Amino acid sequence: MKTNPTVNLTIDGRPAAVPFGATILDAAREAGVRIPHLCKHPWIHRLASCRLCLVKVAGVDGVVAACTTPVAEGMNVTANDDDLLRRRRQQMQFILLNHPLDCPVCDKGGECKLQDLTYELGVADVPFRARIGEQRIDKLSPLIERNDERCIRCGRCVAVCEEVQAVGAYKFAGRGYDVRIDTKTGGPLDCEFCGQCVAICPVGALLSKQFKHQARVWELTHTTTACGYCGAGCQLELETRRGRIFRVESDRKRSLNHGQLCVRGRFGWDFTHDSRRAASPLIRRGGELAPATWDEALDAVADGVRHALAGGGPEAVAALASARLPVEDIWALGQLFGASRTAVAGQDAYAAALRIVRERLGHFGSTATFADLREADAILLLGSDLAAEMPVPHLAALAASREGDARLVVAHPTPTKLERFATARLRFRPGAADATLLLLLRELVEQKGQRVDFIMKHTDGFAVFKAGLDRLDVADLCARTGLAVDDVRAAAAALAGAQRPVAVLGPQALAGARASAVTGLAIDLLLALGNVETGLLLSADRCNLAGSMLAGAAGSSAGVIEAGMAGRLGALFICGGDPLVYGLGADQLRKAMEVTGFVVACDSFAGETAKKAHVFLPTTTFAERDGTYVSAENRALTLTPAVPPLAGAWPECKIVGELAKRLGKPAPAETLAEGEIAHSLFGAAAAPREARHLAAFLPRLKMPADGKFHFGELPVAAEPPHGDLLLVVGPIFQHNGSLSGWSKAIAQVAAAPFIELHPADAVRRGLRAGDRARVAADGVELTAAVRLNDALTPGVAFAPPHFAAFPAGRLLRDAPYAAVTVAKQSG
Amino acid sequence: MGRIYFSCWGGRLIDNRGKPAEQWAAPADLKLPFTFKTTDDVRAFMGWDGFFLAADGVSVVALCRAYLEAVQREASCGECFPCRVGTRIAAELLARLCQGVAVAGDLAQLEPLLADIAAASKCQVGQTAPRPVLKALAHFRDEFAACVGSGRAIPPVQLVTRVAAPCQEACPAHLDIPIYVEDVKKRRYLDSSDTARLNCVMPTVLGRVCVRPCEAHCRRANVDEPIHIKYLKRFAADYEKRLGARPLRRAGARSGKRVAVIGAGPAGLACAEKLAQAGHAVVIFEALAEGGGMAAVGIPDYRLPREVLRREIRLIEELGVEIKYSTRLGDPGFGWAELQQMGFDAIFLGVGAHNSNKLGAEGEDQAYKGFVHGVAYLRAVAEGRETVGGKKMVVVGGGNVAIDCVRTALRLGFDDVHIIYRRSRKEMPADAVEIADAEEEGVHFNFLCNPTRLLADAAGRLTGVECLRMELGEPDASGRRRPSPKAGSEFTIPTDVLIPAIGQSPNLAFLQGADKIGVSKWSTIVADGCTGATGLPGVFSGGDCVTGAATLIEAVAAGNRAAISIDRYLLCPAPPELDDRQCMERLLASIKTYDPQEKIALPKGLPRQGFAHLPVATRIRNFDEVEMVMSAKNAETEAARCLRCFRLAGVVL
Repeated sequence: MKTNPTVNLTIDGRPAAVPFGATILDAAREAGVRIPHLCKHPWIHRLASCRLCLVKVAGVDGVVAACTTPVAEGMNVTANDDDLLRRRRQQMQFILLNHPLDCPVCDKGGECKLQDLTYELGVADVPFRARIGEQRIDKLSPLIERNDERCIRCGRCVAVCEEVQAVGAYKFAGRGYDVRIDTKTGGPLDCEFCGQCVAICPVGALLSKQFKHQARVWELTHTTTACGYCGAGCQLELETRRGRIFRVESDRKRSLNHGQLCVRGRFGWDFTHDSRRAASPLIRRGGELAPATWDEALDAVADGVRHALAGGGPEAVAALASARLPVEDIWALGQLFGASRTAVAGQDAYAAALRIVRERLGHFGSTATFADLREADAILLLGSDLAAEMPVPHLAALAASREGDARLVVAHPTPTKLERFATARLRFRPGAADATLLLLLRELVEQKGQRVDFIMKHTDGFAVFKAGLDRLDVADLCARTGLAVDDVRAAAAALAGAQRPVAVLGPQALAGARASAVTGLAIDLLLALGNVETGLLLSADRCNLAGSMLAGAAGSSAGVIEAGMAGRLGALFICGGDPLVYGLGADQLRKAMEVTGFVVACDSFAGETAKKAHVFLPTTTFAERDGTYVSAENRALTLTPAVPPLAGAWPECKIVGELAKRLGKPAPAETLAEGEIAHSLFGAAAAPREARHLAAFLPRLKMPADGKFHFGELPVAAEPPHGDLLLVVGPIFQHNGSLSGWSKAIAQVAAAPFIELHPADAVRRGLRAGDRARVAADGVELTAAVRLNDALTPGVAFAPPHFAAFPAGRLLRDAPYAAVTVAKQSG
Repeated sequence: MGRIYFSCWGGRLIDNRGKPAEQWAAPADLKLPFTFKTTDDVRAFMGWDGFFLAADGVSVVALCRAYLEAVQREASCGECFPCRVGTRIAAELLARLCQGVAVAGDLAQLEPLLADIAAASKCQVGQTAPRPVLKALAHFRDEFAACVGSGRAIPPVQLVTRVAAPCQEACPAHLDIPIYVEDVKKRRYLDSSDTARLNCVMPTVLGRVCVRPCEAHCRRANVDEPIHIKYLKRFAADYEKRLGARPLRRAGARSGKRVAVIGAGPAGLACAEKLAQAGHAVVIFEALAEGGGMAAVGIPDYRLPREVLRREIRLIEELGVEIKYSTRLGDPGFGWAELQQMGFDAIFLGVGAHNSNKLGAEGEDQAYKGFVHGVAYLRAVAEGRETVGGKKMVVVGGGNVAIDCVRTALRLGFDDVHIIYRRSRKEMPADAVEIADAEEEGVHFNFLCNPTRLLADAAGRLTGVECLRMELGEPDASGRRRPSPKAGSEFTIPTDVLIPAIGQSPNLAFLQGADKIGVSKWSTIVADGCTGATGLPGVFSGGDCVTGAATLIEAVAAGNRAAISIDRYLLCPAPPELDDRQCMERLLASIKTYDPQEKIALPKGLPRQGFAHLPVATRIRNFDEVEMVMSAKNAETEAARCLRCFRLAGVVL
C-alpha cells in the first residue's frame, strides 16, 4: 500500500509533520497547538459547521476552516490571534443567542462542549437579537429525550445515524434560523435506539431518559468492563455512585468498539438493579418454593446430588450452563460434574461447528476479527442476521459495504437489515444452508472465481472436490433451497476474485444436525477463495459463547436433555439463564425436568425455569463480578466488578466451590487470580487491570504441519423441513436471550412478542395485523400477536424467542426453525 | 437594451443618480438581467455580486431586507452557524430599519456583522449573501441612515428569487448538482441518485457519457481542479444499481390523458418519464428494435454498457410507459395522418438526428466498398450486424462520433486507424478524455487536412483518399477559426475503409404535409427553445431534431421542458407560457454566473480523486467498459472538495 508522503508545515511558529491528505486541524494536534472545535467527530464526515476552527494561511486572504483544509508543504498557519479569537467568540455568540440557561437542570452539565467552549473562549455576553420560533421538546420517544431548545443544530446526530447506523432517523427540517433537527417521520423516534446520537450530541439536546436527573456526571465513578449480552465483546464504562449504576457509556478512544454501543449495552443494563432480582435461595417445600439460607440451600443441593450419585453413579448428574457464564465458572462446573456431563445449554450446533474448525484448520473458533470484517472486500452472511445477533460488529459489515466497496452477499431465510445493502441476496429455505453452500461453491468454480494460486500453493484435494461439485444435481439443489440459479450465479460473481473475503456463519446456518456440514463447506469456500487465515467469523449471540466452549464443557445439551427425558438423570444443575423460555428444545427440557428427581436452577432472576426447580440459587450479574469472556472474534475480555453484588446473590463459581466442599471434592480455584485460569486454559496473556481495554487475542490461525489445508468431502444436502408454514425463530436487535426481558428500558422499545407473517399467508388464515394467532408444533400450542411483513418469503414466518409470554423456543427441537400451524385464535 | 439608474454588478459601477432619465441607457457590452417575462420589466435585481436598479423608486433598504429574508427562507440550509444565525440577525436589523424602529447601534452593527458572516460561512450562500448589502451600505449610506429612528415604515418589496449554483446553471437540465454531490459526501448515496433523477432520466448513462458543461463552470477549478461531477453522479447511480434499489419516483394518479412520444432517445425518454410521473399515459414509438437512440446505437459499449441503458429503460417502463419498438413514423400504415387519428391528446417529436452529413468529396456517392458513414457503422456494430472490415481505417471528423468509430475499429481488428480533421487539436469538439484514451489506444491523429476525392480500384473497392492540407484563418460563427485549403497541397492516404463522421441532421420525411410545423433550412424542426412548442398546438419537439446534433444532456433537458409544457397544455390548452421559475432560469442564463478569473481565497487542496481504467492491453480487443466506477472512499473525498456554490438572485418587478 502506497504510504502518503509527509508534509511539513508550521502552525503558530511550531513545526508539524503529517501525512499528505491530513488537515490543518490534524497537524495542529500533532504540533500541540490548541484550535477550538465543536462539530468534528471521528465517527462522521467533517461537518465543518461550527466554524470555530477558523485559521489563517499565509498567502491566502481571509480565514479557512482548519478541519477541512488539507495541509500543503511549507504552509504557514496562524491558528491563534486576536482576530481569530474575536471570530470564534462570535460563533459562540451565534450559538448562545437563544440557548436556554438550563445548565442547572441539564444532565450534560460537566461534559458539555458548549459550556467548555464558552468558558475557554471567555464569552460573556451576546450583543445580537433574533426571534426564535416555537421549539418543541420530544418526551414521547422511548429512552431518548430530544430537546429542541438546547439543540445547536450542529448536525452530528443526523450524520451519525446515517453514516454509522445506516438508519437515518434524523433530518434537517426547514431553512435558515428556523431550521430544526427532526425525525424523518416527524413523529417520535422509531429507530434502533443504539444511542449513538446521545453519545455524540455535544450538548444536552439528546439525553438518555434513563439517566435524566439521576446524577451529576462528575459524581460518578467509571469502571471499564465487558458487556454481558452478546459476543461482540464491547467494552462498557459503567458509571456508578454508591454501589449503583447510573449510566453506561463506552470510551470512544480506548474501547474495542470505539465507543459505539447498541440499545442492549447502552440502556439494557438496568436489570442489575431491578427490584425483581432474586436475593434469596429458594427450596421447594411442600410443593411451593420458599426462601432459605445459603447454607440450607447448598446443603439441599449437596443432598440431592449425593442421592443421585448413589442411585446412578457419576452419569446420573449433569449440568446445563448458560453461555453467559464466564470461562472460570464453566471450568469450575466441568471440574465438579465432569466435562462430558457439563453442556452449554442449546449450543450443540455451535459446538459441532467448533469441532469441524478444529479438525479442518487446527484452530479454535473464528479466524476473522471484526477488523478483518471491516477490511473485507467480499462478505458472505450465511444464516446470520448480524444486526440482531451482534449489533456493533454489524456496523463493520455496513462500513465495509458502504465505505469500502465490499460486495455483500446476504444468504438468509428471512428479511434482515443488511439485505438492503447487499449486492446479492439468497433467500434460502429454512434448513437449506448446506444446499445453498453447495450451489454457491459449484457456481463459483464454474465461473472460475476461485483463487488458483492459493489453491495450488496451500491446499490439496481440489481436483476431487471440483469433480464432486460437477456431479451435483443443480436442479435438485435449487428445489431444496428455493433459489433461482441466476441468483446463485450473481452471489458467486460477487464473491469471485475477492482478495479478502469473510464468511460469517450464524444460527440459521449452524442449525441442528447440519452445523458440521455447513461449517465444513464454509471452510471449503474460504479455501477456494484463498482466505482461511482471516476469513471465518462465527457469529456469537452470547457474551461467552466462544469462551464457554473452550472452558471444558464437553457435553451435548441435547444429550443431557435426552438423558433427563429418559429418566437416566438423578440430578440436573441448570446454571444460568431461563432455558424454559429461551432456547432450542425448551419443551424437551420441560419434560426432562419433570422426570428428573432433583433439579437446581441458578440465575439472577427467578424465571420460568426457577419455578419448576427444586432448589433455586440467586446469582450475580456481569456488572457485579470478575471473570473472563471470550468474544466472537476470539478476544479474552476481562470483567471488572463495578458495583458490589446484590446482598444474597453469589457468583456461580462461588456456588460451585461451596458445593464441591460439601461433596468432599477439591474446590476449583475460587479466587480469580488475574487471568490465571484463562491463561491456563488457552494461553491468553492476562491483561493488567490498567490495560484491560486492550483485551488479548487468542492465538491466531497457524498453517498446518504439512503446510497444506485439505478440501473436505462433499456432504449430501439434507432434506429441509417441509410444511405449509415454516417458522424461523431468530433474535431481534432489541433483545438478547431472556436476560433482556428483565430490562425495563428494553421493554420500552420491544415489549410485546409477535409472529410475523407474509400478507398472503395471513389472508389465507383469516388473520390481520394485530389479531391473536394460535401457533402450534409438536404438541405445543402458543399464542402471539400477528404482524405482517411483505418482505418475507410466502410460506415462511418469523418470530423472536425472547419473550416469556410467547416462548417460541418451545416449538423448536434442535434447529431454529420448524414447521408450524397458525390459525386465528377464536374467542 | 435596458436602462440603469444604478448598478454595481459585474465589477462595474454605474451611478446615474441625479442624471436625467435620457442618460440611463445601459452600455451595450454590459449584460444585466433587464428582462424577466416581458422586455425590460425588471425594476431591480440583487444577487451574489451586487445589484442594479433600472429606475428610482425602489428602496434599496427594502431591497436588502427582502434579499436577506429570502436568503433565510430559501437559501440558507441552516447547517453552519454564521449563515444560519448571522443572516437572520442581519435580516431582522434591516426589518427594523424598514419599520423605522431601528437605533443607531443597529446600523453600526450591520456592516461588520455582514463582513464577518461572509468570511466565516461554510458555503457560497453565507459567503455571498452579505456582499450586495455591503455594497448598498457603501453607496446608499444616507438612505440607511435616514431610517434610523425615523418612525416611518418603508413598504416591503416582493422578490422573485432563484437559488442556483454556476454548475447547476451551466447544466442544460439544471440538475441540483451541489445537493447530489453533498449527499455523496454525507454517505446518502441513494438520496444522491434520487436527486439527480429529478432532472435527469438516466443518471447511470449521463454519469458515463455526459459532456459535463457543469465541470467547465466549476469554481473549484479556480482553486485547484474542478469537481468530478459526472463521475460522482455515476458513483451514486451505480450504487443504486448495485443494490438493486428502486428509485423513489412513482407514476402519478391517472389523468386520463394520452401522449404519443416519437423516439425513445434521451429526449423522448425524459419527456415520457416526466409525463408518467404527472399521471399521463404515454406511448413511445421507436423506430429501432431497441431504446436509447444515439445512446444505444451511437455510443459504443466500452463507454456505455448496453445493460446499463437497458436497465434505465426498464425502470421507465415500470412507471407505466409503453414502448412500441420497430415502429417507425413514416413507414407505410403509420404516417403523420394516421398518428393524428390515434386519439392522443398531445405529441412529442424526439426523432433525433441520424442522417450523416456528406463529405462533399468526389466519389462519395459511388457506393465504394469500404465507405460507410459513421453513425451507420456504429449502429451496425451495436446491432451486431456485419459491417466493413479491413486493417486500415480513416475517419473524417473531430467529434465524439469520430472517436467512437476509431476506438470501435481497433476493437474489431483494425490495426492502423486514423482520424483526419480539418482544424487543429484545440478545435476538436470531442471530449478531451475520449481523445486521450484514443491516443493511448494507438489512434493516429492528422490535423489540418480535409478529404477531397475517394480512390477506388476497378472492382469498386476503396483504396485510398486524396486530401488537402488546411490552414486556419479567422473565427467563424461557431467561434472556431475557419479552415481554408492550401492550394497545391494534395496528398493521398491509402486506406481500406473511409468513414465520414462530420455531423448529423434529422430525417424529417415523415413531416411532409404536416401543417403548421416549421422545418428549418438545416432540416431541423422549428420549436420554441424554452417550451418545446411547434407551430401546431399540441405538438412539441426537442433534442437533436430541433437543435441539430448536440449533446445527450441537452436532449434530456429539452424533454424535461417539453413535458412541463405538455402537462400544462393537457390541463388547459392555451399558448404555452413560462412560469416564474422558468423565467428566472432564463434570466440567469442571460448573465454570467461563473467567472473563471474569480480569485477564491482557499489554498490548493487535494487533487481530483480518480478512478481506475482498464489497461490498454486488456481493453483493446473487447468492448468491456473502460472506466471503472470510483471507490466510495474516493467519491466521498472528492465530494468533500465541492464549494457548494449556491447563491441567491432576486428580481423586483
